[in-house]
Amino acid sequence: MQGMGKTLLDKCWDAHVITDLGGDYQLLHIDRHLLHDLSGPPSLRTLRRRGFPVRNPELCFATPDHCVSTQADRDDASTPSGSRLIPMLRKECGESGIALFDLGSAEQGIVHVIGPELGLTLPGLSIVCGDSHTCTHGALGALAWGIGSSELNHVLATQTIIERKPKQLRVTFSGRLPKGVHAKDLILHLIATEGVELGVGHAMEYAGETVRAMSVEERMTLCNLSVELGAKIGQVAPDSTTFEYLHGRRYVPKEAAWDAAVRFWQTLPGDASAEFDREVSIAADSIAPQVTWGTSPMHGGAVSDVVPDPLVYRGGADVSGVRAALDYMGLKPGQPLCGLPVDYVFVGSCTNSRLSDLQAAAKVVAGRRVAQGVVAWVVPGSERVKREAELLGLHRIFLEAGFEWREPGCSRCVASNGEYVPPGKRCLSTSNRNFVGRQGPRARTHLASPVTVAASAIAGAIVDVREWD
Amino acid sequence: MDRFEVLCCRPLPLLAANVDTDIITPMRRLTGRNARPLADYAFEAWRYDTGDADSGTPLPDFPLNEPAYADCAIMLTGQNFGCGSSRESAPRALHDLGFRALIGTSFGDIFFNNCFQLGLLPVVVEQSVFERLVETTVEVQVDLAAETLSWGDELISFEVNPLKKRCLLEGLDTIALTLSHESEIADFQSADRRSRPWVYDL
Ligand code: SF4
Repeated sequence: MQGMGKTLLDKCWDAHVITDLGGDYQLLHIDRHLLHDLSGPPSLRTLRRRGFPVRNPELCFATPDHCVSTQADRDDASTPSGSRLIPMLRKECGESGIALFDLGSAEQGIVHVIGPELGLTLPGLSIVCGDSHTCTHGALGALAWGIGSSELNHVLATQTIIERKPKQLRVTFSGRLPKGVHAKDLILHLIATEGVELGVGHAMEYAGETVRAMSVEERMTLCNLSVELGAKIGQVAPDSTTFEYLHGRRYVPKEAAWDAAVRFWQTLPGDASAEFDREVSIAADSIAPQVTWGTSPMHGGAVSDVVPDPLVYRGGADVSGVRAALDYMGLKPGQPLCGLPVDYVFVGSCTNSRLSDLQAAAKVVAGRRVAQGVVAWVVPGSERVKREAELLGLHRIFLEAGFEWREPGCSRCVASNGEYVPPGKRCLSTSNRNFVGRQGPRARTHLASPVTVAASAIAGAIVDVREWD
Repeated sequence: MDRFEVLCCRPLPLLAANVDTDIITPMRRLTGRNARPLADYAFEAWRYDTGDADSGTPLPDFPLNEPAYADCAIMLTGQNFGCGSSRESAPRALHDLGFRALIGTSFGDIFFNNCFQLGLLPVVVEQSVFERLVETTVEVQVDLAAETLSWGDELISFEVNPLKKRCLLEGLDTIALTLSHESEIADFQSADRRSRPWVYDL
């Protein structure tokens, strides 16, 4: 039950209700529809063939990211999926009048990186995309969530969606992050302690002094993993940090319109009297760098821990599942995570491929060499991130250390472009999912922060960055 | 979309917790040209000895490979079934395998919505009901119109949103339904444009 006051989610939600549809479902207006090369082209084509025009093409924006190659001289044909889907995306966007940030343009990148970067993502906007990590945009106080392809068709045809308001869960973080501990560790810790079902049926709001002190990019990392908690939506209330981040970006209102927008955005944070269906509090100052050992984002813990015994893990709640996970990962109960040799490292994905992520990783790498035999990639989240990083000389730091410095895209996060981790190989990754087969058939994925991943590339094995000088 | 009929069969148990959509339909089967229909690749990492539907042989113990369930339309699913990505291929593959209802204690939120769009009914039941369903060896009936599950001498009610129910029972397309609200959408946009011009002035 909610009290008299309204939460951030209430305010965002209520502003988009067009009509009640009976039961608990409502028809909501969609302010921004982001499309990518994997889910966009088939939907656009289906809709056209069914004879429905795109209702508001000016509110839709597209970019190729999932199927693009990330090699230097790439084009559509560099990947099998791209050669089919990228031309289709271009053709369908052209016919529907949807703006496309195409391969080779200065704006291309992972859809959840470019949305905020271009100012398409604004506080209070309703944003959908055919991708579950659309929750990332909630970091700016947007109401953003991932949808399936039938819903995608519906949004294209009607600029609305049929939804019911989720329950609400607030996670309050207190204290400062210790040295070597990053936003990624905070959210991995939350998932490891509370489980991947914590947010099912709920929208998350992340609050507290720790979150207030975070940059918008760190907040995006936090919100990005909301869906790994089972929540479609994750939000942070907009504040002066948000407004500073947005000011001057391409699609952000200008001059008098900016002032009016800021005044509106300042009304969005939840009222003090608002109540949540659930509350969780986390002390951030006692968290250790995190790394996962299994095949669910909740299968993780402090890097200094050992692999758990399936009989003991969560009171033996999922013995066969954990056994299968350890078998898949090639790990034994009691084995320390520190020192576990890695074959691949991946710095990238919509979780951790923004400028500040690359800066943090570069700081660890500077003047060192990637361990013999480790394949280390940095894949910037967008063309803009790549260019800004190059202006700062980060690419040279990575290249001199033996990393590959690649073109922007989703790449090894999901390998839908064919950039697999080979079977049986162990990859330490800054991405968000360690599911069976996620980075390729039988690939073994460990999730961690950019700093842990970068330091481990140098060591050739998982390291505790708190002990890294 | 087909109209949703009353279902009656022995449900297939797929009880692992947190089954994600990458397991249900692996990404590499969504981007390439496949030798076989998508449903053949569903759960391939668990269903074939090599983890690959093209090269492997079906593992006889995996429920989807058991002849007893060949015509099964009801699946019992472990907690948080369908977590992970928004890909609609996951419920589509289950639909193509012949399933029309999933019964579990919880589902991934995006997956849950996607199911309805494809004519697949996700039914949420309490843990105690679920355990009794897992134990039973008789046929289970799913009656959406009556919102009941029944087997042996058990009769359990479940709830489903009236709108979603109507769409399933009548095989309705939601786009047509929403377009009947076109004037309200237009009114909303013109009022909203005055209060939040930055949404529209791009
Ligand atoms: S980077 Fe990974 S998680 Fe993010 S949109 Fe791309 S594939 Fe999805």
